[in-house]
Amino acid sequence: MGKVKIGLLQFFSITLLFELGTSLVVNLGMASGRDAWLSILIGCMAGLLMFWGYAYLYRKHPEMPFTAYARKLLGPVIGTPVALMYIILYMNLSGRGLRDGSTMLAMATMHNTPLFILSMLMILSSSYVLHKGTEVLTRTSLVFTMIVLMIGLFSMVLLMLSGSINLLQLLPVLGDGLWPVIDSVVRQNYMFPFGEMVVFTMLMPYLSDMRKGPWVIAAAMLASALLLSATIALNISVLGADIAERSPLPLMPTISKISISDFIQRVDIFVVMVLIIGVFFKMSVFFTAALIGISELFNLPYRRMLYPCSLIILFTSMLDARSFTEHLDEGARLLYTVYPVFMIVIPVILIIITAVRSYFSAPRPG
Amino acid sequence: MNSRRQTLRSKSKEQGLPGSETGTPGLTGSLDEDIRNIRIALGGSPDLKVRKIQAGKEYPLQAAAVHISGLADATAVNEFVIGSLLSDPSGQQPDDTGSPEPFPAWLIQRVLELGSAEVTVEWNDLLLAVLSGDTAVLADGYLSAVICDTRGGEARSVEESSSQMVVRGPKDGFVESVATNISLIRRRIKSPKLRLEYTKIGTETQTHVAMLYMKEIAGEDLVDEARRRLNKISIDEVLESGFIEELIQDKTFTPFPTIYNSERPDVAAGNLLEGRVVIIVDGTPFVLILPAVFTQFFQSAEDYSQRFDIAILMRIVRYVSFIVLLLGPSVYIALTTYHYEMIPTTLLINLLSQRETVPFPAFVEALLMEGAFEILREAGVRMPRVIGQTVSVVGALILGSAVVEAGIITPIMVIVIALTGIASFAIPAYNMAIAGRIIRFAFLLLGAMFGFYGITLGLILLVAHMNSLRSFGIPYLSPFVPLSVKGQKDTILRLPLWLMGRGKTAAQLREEQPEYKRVTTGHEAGLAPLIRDNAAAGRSEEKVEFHEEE
Amino acid sequence: MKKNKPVRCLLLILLLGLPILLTGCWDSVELNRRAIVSGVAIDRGEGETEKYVLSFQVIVADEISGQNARGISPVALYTGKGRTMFEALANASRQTARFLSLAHVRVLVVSEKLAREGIKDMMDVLERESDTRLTSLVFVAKDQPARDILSTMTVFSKIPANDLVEKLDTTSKQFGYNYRLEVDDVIRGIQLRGGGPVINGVTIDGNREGADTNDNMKTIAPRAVIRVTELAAFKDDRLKGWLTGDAALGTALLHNKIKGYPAVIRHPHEGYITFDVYQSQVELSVEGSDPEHPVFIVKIIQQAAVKESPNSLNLTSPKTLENLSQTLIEDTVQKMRTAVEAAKKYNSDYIGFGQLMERSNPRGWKKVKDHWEEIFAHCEYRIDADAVIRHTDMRNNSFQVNP
Repeated sequence: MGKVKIGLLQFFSITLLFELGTSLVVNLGMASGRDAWLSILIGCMAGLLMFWGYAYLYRKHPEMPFTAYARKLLGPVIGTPVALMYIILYMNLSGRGLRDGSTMLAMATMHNTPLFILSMLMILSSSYVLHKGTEVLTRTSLVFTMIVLMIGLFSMVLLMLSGSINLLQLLPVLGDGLWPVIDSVVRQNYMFPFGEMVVFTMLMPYLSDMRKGPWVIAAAMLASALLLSATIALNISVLGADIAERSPLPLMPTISKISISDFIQRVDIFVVMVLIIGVFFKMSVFFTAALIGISELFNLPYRRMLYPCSLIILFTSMLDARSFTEHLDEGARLLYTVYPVFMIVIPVILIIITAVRSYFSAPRPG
Repeated sequence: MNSRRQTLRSKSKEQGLPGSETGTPGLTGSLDEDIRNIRIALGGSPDLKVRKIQAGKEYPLQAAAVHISGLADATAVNEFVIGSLLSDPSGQQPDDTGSPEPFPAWLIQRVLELGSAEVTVEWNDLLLAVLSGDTAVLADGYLSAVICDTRGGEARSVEESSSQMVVRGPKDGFVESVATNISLIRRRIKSPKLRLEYTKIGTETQTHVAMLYMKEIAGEDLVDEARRRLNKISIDEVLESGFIEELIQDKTFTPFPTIYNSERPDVAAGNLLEGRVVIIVDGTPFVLILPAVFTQFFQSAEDYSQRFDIAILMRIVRYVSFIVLLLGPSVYIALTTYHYEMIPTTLLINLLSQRETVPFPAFVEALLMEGAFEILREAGVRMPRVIGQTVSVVGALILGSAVVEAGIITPIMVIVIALTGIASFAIPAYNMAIAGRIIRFAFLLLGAMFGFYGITLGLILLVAHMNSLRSFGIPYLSPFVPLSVKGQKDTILRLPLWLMGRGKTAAQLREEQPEYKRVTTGHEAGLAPLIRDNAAAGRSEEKVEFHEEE
Repeated sequence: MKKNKPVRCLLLILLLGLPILLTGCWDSVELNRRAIVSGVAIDRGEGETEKYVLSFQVIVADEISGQNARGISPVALYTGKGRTMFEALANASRQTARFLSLAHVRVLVVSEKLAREGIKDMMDVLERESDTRLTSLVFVAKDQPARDILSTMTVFSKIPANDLVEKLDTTSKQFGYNYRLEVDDVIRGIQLRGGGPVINGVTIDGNREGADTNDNMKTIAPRAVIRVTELAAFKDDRLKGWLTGDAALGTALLHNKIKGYPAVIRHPHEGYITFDVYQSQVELSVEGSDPEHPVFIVKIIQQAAVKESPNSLNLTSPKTLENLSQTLIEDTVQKMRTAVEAAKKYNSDYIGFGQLMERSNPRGWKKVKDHWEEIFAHCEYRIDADAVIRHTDMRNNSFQVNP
């Protein structure tokens, strides 16, 4: 049987769901207020640039996940700790995703259910799916991409029918100049959600088509950026910049404005469903990346560390912060300080090493 | 399960036949001894009939015709075996040396007026033939016996299939006889490409199992894989095609059926032409069709008799009813106990006033009703048809209305449960409906405990589970996941025949079904790191299917 | 040994899953443990400790659609007091047997007293709480305690709150002064720099005595009737005054919220003529580069039909209709002018001229934002109206033309 290869469409859908993930629901880029939709688009451009770097590494090492070529390029002494750090990073990101999801769920509908229970249910489901393999995860994502897009379309149509959309609320574009947008991009949007694409360096070896694969992923990133941008624009045009800015989950009040002759009303549960689906896939992608890393680094069968890892992620998410505000603040600071090291600095070093090596090795014919 | 497999394996070593405790004695050449041996082998069974005759006029010989009454066709035995022997129209001819020509050869070439007769020297073959309804003719002094094909006896005639009804379409259904069943298919496909392979499975039952496929249309890997899995089966008894199904399917731990079964020859023929393999088991009218994907269980033979637009509508109705079956009660419970804000206000007031006097929580209410419904259905199915109707009247009408009037269950809950019940009948494949009914309870629990959170997670798990299934290497959810646009012609959609490529040649069709080419050994490969092989060790632990054990 | 793995997995899942079963369902509330609130009245209590007096109109479902109705009132009103809204809500639970569930609140009535004092504080909980809905309609009870509005029996809907909602919908389509104003509209209104929200008024006409019993409907003319009235104009979060007649209609038009209304004009010789304006589209824009002296342009296009013309005018002549539409235009301009002047009088830019300015000239807006009130008070505006009379309904000339 040997290698598992994952089709392009599956990769497209998992990328889309990973990017939309929590970002679709949370207050994204709101530092730039009413121009948040712009900062997403700019952030995506930065993200694509970064992804180009990851894709370069993949093309040079098509059969290896990130942790493998990091060790190959940096040597075992430096490479192994670096690989280990990446595994920890992925588990941390997975845990943070889980915390995001469970807290938002608690805020939105499950007010009295303990966070631990919500998280546990989520991580158990994730473990089951990952037990079936990454291929199953990506194939499942295809189905749920459809569902999310259908929910989106449905909500859009309903919002239009209930006449809640007022595009004038998007004006003025760039009322405070370009600076707040750039600031928001630098602080947040190039990293979240697009910088997190670094996790795909662990998955890309499974691409069934090495040549087209990175393009498909980039297309998915672009598509998700457009969708995110459209969603944010929708939030603002329904709620106004002020209310949208102050909502942790702006999509929920937006959708709750849907009211069609008192029959279809309060469909914000759809947003909760989108939230659950998004968090699930985002977290699972990080989780599977960590598992691939562990299995590669420590020479262990893939499934052996599944349940221990799920426990670690569960407790990471629970012990991460006392309150959601603290959690978000911590996230914002990590986004500014720690993540760039993993998402830019180390990959750039690896790219340089790869480029130099291939430069010196290529011209020699013998 | 575990211990059973052990016994299967040990039994499979000795290919002994029923009753042959003394090993295989073989033919002795003495007629009386051979007859005695046969009697002993079959335990002196009274339905074993031995007719001794003196055959041949010029060179009279003591012979005996042995058959089992009931299994053999009495007319054939009387007229064509014994009758021909006694009448002896031609007489044995002496050969060059003057001795008479061998009795078996003479019998076959010039006496027996039967379509099929052959010589055997194997004791086991002889017994098996007799047990299958053939007549064995033994002669004194010969170490071989002539097996005359007199199979017959009482069998059900071809009738309309009772499990898969159609309004329009052929009305014949498979019967218990494998030969008749093959003939029903052959009558529909008069192509030399139709291939048939026989095996016998079951150390005790020695059941005939026929595998049919269309050469050049069915993928070779698929046929090989099916043959391999059939050959690997070692089991004592095969009484129904379900036994075979359970032993050759990819994975046993799932509520979903991964092999299709049908009672209709037209369905079998259609599937053969689509490149699938049909397995017919003697003794049951249900044939197995493989590989089977999810969408297949929502197709009905009638879809192709009706106009395509109507067929699409009917299919959509079936998928919707599957969703209703899965999620109906759980969504109702999640809505009323968690997300009451979604219910339109006027409806909510209605529900509130209904719930006012009901003593149970909604979850218990649903469980009670579902339980009652399952009991009713089970009672109705097993009852004779006349009483069955009474059961449904008592159950559905009287119980339903009484329960509401007594204020134990809310009317809306009765509506919801009745709707899911009816939805389960709208699914053409019974085994898929059962799967839905089981999963429904899981969703009920999730919905009651976590509202839409539970239901959404449940859906993710369900889809992931279905994605992990394969039927003979074909992903269960194909052609949706992995998506194949070409494959969409006959899924939820049923394109008109001229678009579906029914007019194409077999080779063209084969081109369009690339997925049948890659048949893997079945189990989901899981995820193995690419760079290292030792992960394969971890993977092999996971092989739990029966056919992987060797 | 190998085959034990699935069993072990199953055990593990059961081990982890069973506690969930045992502890049960935290957020699950059976429907018969809920009291569905259809409307909330918010009054100003005495002093700071009882600042908010909240009255919840709870639906008694049995009385509305149940089989065993007892002939009691279809709704019940419970009151709670507190320093904050949430405290008042919790306080009310002392009287209610069930959880007050706010997801179906369709009407929020604020008393005029509280509205004059400021509604800023009370809006916070309404948008923060996930149970309440943003699509609830907000009203101000004119001259009356808000509680009275929700304790009046109504004829058409058994639930008074629903009755009020339906009245608003009907009148906004027919009479045109009022239009749907929901919670988020009010919040956005409060956020308007130099302006404030406009909120529908509601009042009880007639005799309050016995209004909260079935007796109210026993006479053909109900003794007390809930009536949707003028628009309440706010500055920031405080009620400044009531807009009536032309000022209210003009305001609604300026917000581009109403499509149709009856327009009555007085012909110089022929008395009153009524039109049914069935389509009107308003566009606002701002001219002038100097943010200190903006000129606002209101463009309105209307379509109308003659509904009542009891006079000898020759309606078959296009010229007459042309003249009539001219008077209609004048009437519209007059209405909008009254509306803007009223806003200037209250010194509140609830029309949204400032927002308009921000959208078209964000830089200029920043300069004038802080003293917008002064600029608004003296700003110029121009009204470009156009109206066309499409038809004269089922007759051409009135029978009075040829007596």
